[in-house]
Amino acid sequence: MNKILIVEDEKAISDLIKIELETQGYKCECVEDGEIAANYIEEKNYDLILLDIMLPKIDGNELLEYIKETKEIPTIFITAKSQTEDKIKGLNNGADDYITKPFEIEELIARVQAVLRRYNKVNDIIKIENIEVNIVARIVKNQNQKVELTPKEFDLLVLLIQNRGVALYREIIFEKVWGEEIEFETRTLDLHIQRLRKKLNWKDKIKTIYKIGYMLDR
Amino acid sequence: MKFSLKLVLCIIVIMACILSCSRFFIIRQSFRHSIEKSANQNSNQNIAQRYYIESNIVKNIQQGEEITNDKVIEYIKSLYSYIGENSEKIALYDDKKNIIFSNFEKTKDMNINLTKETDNYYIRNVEDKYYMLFSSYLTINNDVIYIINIYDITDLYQERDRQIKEILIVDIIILGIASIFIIIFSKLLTRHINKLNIISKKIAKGEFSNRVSIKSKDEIGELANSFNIMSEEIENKINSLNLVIKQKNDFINGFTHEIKTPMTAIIGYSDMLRLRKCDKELTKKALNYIYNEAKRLEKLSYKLMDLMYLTENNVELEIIEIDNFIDKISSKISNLEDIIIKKSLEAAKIKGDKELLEVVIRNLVENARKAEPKDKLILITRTNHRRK
Repeated sequence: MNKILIVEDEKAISDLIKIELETQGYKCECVEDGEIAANYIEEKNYDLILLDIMLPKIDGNELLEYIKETKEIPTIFITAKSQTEDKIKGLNNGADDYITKPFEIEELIARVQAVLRRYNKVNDIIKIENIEVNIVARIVKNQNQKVELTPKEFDLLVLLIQNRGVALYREIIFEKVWGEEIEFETRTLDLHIQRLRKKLNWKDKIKTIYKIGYMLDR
Repeated sequence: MKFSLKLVLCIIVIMACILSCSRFFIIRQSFRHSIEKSANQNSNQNIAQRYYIESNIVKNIQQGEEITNDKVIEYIKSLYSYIGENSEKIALYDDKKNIIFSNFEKTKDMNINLTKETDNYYIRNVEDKYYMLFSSYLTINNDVIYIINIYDITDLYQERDRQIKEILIVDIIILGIASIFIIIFSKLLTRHINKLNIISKKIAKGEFSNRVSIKSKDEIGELANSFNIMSEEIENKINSLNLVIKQKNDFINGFTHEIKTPMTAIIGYSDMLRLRKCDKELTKKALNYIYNEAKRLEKLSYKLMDLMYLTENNVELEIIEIDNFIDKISSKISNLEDIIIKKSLEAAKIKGDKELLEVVIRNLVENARKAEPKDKLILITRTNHRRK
């Protein structure tokens, strides 16, 4: 389980990131200013740091230099400034990636996974019972037998895996997989779910939740 | 065409015109003068010869000899044998225009004008040569004999042509030297203009700090001076505009930063709520965050509107009758059911901005309403605070 330190002075944001990343199975800790963050980094071990640039006491850029000098922990900085020079400054200081506010949680998760993957801190392959899913190579295997999935079926599977154990609303599942422009069609979604169940032999694993939508059982 | 070239061409053309006009006039005068001079001389000779012939005839008459044309020819021949035939030519005509005698064979090619006026002369051109002709007459035995003296004046014409040629050469040399001087002069004149041109091009490219250094007291110096004043003005304007743009950018950057944090939270929590079936605790937490961050945005937008109002409209103070003004506003807001507005106002005039003042009063009333007065009464009064 990867440990992530969230350095962000806005509690609303740090809480949000914490909730979302914990859903993904990461272990998170939040700190609100640069000084405490420096102490935490010194004392504990983290796999990744999410760092806001505008911080009380010690500024994000200074903290980034400190991190890179002491512990070589992968760092993604969060900034409200979308100006290129700020991004370049952060990347030159040794940040591994950046994300600008306002961001969507999916984007943050994707960047977190990408950075962790780069440092070989995460396994590309997720195993759930008899199924192996390689998110990067987009390959699904059932007991070492390759399962052919369409791109939409694969995206749907990944969404379900990322929110394992949580009931998802069908309209929003559709929107996240098919895009906002296309009008919601319950038959399309139901058909894809049925095909996933059949191909993966997951008749009971993917549950239909009455009046809400679907859920991948833990 | 370059200005200096225009200047050179213009001056050269004018100079050439003036020179050729004056030359033409001088040559014509001197030519006329030399013709006049030679005419005087020749006319005297013509008179002398007639006199000689006449005196011989008179002498013959006194001796009782008969005068015939042949006799006259004889006199002339003897006269010319004495003078020499080369320098002067003579011809005799009767009044029927027949040549009685001529020692010059081209006489017959000339259009001889027989006249009894002795002072007149005329010029004939035969085979590239110019002749001056004088005529006088004798009356012998009732016959009129015309004596025509012919003088070769070709050299006068040759002299004139030679003068024209020489003057042409001299003039060309003068014009050549003059054009060199004019070119140098015009270069000197346009040097400043070129300088101005180069600097204006630089300024057009955006190098606003350039100035012209021309120290002369003529119009170009003045132009350079005004040019410098203009570029100074432009530079200042551009700098102040840039400052305004920078301030605006700074403001926008700061403002977007303020906006982005609550927006991230609102989008994130609402997305979480709509995708997942969350438990009650998490739902409440998320909704609270959404509400608070949205409130934060609301406050920001009010601030922004106030700021825009103040920066776009310079506040102009006008005289307001405060009692009437508050009456109007309270009648607008008196439809609120849970309060009663009571006024105790005396007539007074104040200076202020109507719209801003209305916002202030509305806010005051609104805040008073939020305080939930027990008797639902809100009292608006006015008191004087005189300056001491």
